Amino acid sequence: MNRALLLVGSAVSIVLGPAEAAPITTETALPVAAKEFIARSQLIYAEASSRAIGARTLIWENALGYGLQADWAVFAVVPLAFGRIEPILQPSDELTGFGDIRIFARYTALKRNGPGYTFRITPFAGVELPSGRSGIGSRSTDPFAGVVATFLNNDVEVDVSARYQVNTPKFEVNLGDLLNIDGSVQYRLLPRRLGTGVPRFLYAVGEVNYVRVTAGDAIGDARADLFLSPGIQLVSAKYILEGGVQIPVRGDGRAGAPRPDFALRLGFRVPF
Amino acid sequence: MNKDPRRKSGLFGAGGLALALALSSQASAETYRLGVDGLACPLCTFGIEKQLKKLAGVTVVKTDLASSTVIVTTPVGKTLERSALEGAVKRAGFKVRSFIVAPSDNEVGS
Repeated sequence: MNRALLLVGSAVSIVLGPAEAAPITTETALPVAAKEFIARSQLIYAEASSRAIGARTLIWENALGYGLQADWAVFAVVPLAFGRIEPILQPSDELTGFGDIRIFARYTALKRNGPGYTFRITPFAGVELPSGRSGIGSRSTDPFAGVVATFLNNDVEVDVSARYQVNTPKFEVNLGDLLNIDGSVQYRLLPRRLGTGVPRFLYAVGEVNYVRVTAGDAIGDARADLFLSPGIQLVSAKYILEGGVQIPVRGDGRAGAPRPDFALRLGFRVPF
Repeated sequence: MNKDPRRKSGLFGAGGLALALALSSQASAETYRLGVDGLACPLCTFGIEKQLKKLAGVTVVKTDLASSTVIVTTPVGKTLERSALEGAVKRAGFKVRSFIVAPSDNEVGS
């Protein structure tokens, strides 16, 4: 296994979004109706680099959610990547192929519904399976768990999510555990005044993503990155279209290990 | 510009007939008005409407986000239990706040 490939792939995978995000990069606690599906597809162009190497990757991330009951839902996320490391050190320095698959379950533990608003808290837990062939992901079996809180009314949506993933060593490379803390605010731009029926909403999206990687023998000291992710989202009763850019605003402890530079996202989702 | 009063009258007459037919159709339906707690975004309405449309006899479901209201229509003579409607909304992840067997002219926008 190419250590550089694993490190760069891991850095790129940091920017992969959660499966059921109502915002663009943050988890949400909004429901998936019982016995119904929601599919999400995102194109993510991401770059990651260190002083020595870099990677340009186009990731097609597909997620499928299914409502087991009103409060239980399960999700699967399959990333497919097309990319390469630069400069090429070995013929195998490619990031093309399927990334690690993530599966998880979510339970709505707290729900407060009122006229025109909802507040929910949903813990979730899952595992990242070593199915990847592209270096996107750690290629090891990594459990993760977290919790997300969501407030939504007709004007704004606020999501706050925390997630911890244990990265088990693979190929004698310890990538360090991963802590994500994300926050998102969506503000309805259009329509300015809510008319009758179910109008389409155009949201301005502002998100903050904090990613901390614990110390690992492959990356040295712990390091942290902070991203800002402005975006825009069109939400109708039958689909969501979205786009945004994820920009690092602060990072430390690079220690030669690659880190994400930025990510551009375009995506849609449909319930069915 | 049409200045023929007979033609103008004819147009209104046709419109009036269509309106009358529409009202007649409305009057031949059972209509339930549900106030739904938690309903606050367009995509949320998909799950609620789909769950309600699974109920036998439901022909039309219309939602009004601003008032968090869902109107469910069934053919005349086909009635729905409140518990069935509440169960469908609950399966979508929401809660019925109020339930009214509505007069047929209580229409919401589409």
